[in-house]
Amino acid sequence: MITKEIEERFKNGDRKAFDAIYAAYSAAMFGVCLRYTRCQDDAQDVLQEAFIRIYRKSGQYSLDKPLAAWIKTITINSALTYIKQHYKFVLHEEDSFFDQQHEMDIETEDEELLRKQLLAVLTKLPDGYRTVFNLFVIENLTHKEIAEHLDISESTSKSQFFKAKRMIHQLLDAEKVRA
Amino acid sequence: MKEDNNIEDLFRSSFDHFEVAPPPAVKEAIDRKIGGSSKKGLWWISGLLLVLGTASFLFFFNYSSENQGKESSDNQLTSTETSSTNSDSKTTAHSGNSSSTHESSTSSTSQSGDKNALLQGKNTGSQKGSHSDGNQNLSSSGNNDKGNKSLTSNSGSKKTGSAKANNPKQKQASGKKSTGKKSSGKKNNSGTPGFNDLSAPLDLIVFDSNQQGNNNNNGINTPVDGNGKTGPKNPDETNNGVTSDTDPPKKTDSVVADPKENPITPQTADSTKKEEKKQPLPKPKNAGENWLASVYAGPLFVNNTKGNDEYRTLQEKPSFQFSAEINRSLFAGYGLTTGFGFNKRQENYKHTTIQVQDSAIVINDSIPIYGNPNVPDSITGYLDTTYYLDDTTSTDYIQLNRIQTIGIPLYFTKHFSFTDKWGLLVNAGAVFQFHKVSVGELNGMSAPAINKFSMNVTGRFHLTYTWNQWTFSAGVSTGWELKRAIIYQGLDRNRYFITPQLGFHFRF
Repeated sequence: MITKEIEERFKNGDRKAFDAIYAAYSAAMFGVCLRYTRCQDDAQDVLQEAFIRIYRKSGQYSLDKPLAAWIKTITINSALTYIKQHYKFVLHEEDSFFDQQHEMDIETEDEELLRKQLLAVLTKLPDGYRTVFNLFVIENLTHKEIAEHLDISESTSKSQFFKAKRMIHQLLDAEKVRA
Repeated sequence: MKEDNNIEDLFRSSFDHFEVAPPPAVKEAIDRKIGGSSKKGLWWISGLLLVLGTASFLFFFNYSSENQGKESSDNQLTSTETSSTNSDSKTTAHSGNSSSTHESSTSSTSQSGDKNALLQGKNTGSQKGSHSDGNQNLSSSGNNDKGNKSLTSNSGSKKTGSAKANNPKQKQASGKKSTGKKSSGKKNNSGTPGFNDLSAPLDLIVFDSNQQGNNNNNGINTPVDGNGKTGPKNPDETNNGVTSDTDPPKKTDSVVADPKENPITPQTADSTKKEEKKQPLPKPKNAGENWLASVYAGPLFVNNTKGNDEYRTLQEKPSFQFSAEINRSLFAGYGLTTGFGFNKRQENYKHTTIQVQDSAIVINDSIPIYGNPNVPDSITGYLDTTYYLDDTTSTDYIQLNRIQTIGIPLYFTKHFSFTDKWGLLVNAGAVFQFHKVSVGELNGMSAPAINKFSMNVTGRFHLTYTWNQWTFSAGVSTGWELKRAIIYQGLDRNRYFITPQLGFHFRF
């Protein structure tokens, strides 16, 4: 439990407060990182960079705002930076991806398993699809905001999102056929 | 459309509270990267303690050397005073009491305050100080009468030949003084050289503390010895003043009976001592010219080594470094140096990113497998081989960062003198630095981690030429950045520097 006192100490650069915040939010933020990256190693890199930024920018944190949201924003920004730097961030406009065979084992009985499989679906998506899908569906950003974040046009964001959904459908349908 | 929304909801609900514990390696990596910052407080405290410790040390040595200088001048003054102002009834009373060396020393120490007492421990090699101290304690107790009485009884007991019986009274006398045991020891010590040896303390500087200790060991019996038939060891003492001319018990008795009656005694002694007292005092080693103000300047060249990534490079342009320092000589050419320095530099961080486009071209080939390579017809099958021709592109990202640094050096110093003019000045220690960093355009790179406080381990070697109070030097300062100031992500950096310098120094 992160109290106001811990938040204040964190703002003042207290290391123990930072450790407490890491303990409280690292798991959730690692989940965010996993959604945006191709693999767990990349997610670890993003998480590491995110929390380093969080620590260094602790003085900029405003106590009247929710800490979790501030941390999540930095984590997502770190993920986007990482994607831009390390992935060849290509927005696929071709439909050739949808002709490829993707086989997924989708099980809906176990919630945890389902989550893992959906995560696997996300990682199968091209970087552009995955990023836009994440930002729109899970972070609830508008296409305009996504366009600003990714430095793309709003229409590109929309098309990326719809193509992402189409591909997800294909992946899931393929599984249904298999099932 | 409904299905689309279902998918969105499915993802939304699934990842709403999606948490996965990261491996501990992540936290360890974070700790490594920001570890320096977490111990920021410790660095500050240790740095502050070092600076404060050095300042205290310098102050202490400065204070003690000043006092030592004062003490020697006090000794000089008191000696002179003894020769000229022995008409003081109290001093003559003391001298009458002890009828020996106490007189002169009593009069001499009446001028010097607690400083001499303070310096007693330090100036063990200075017999002057110890003599005067002992007497000072006797006279400065404020109970001169009592002191006289105790001394009187001392001499009286000497008469009776029961030296042991004197002990309690002497202890009582010393006990009334704030200095306690020391005072008694000094008192005893003061009795040893004899009244006529006022100049002797000046010459006794070379005596070591053991001798002084031995004098102390003479204890209460010393006056007895000085006045008694055994006499002082130095035959000259017996020829001086009262002690030499009198049968000790009777003389002391007459003086004790009325201390003011015999002012001639010290005057006689003084008249014999005047010439000796005029001898110049040896200058204390630590008195004066122990401070050295220095200015150093020169170009700073830096070599940054990195051990982990060929795609990251760091170049630091030569810059100018200036420092103003002050050095305190402590002993035998050793000293401590501190001050401040200034440097403004800039460094280029370049990151080359290699993009590998996998399977840009794929060629499938079938290679025949021969049963017997020497027989062309013995093909037993084909091995399919796929060649991936990768297309790589590299992009250079460059970041220009500017750093302004203020450093506080803390050096141990040794000056080796080859001749009167030439020498070698060696400094070794640390420089605590404070930085102001202006991070340039990131150009898609992550911002470096900045420690506002860093520390260098530094050595400096200067050839020196001394002219009067001025010293000119030339040499190099070199070292290694122990605690890093700027940390670039993914770059394991070691920063070594060397600065050819000129130095200008003024000793005071």
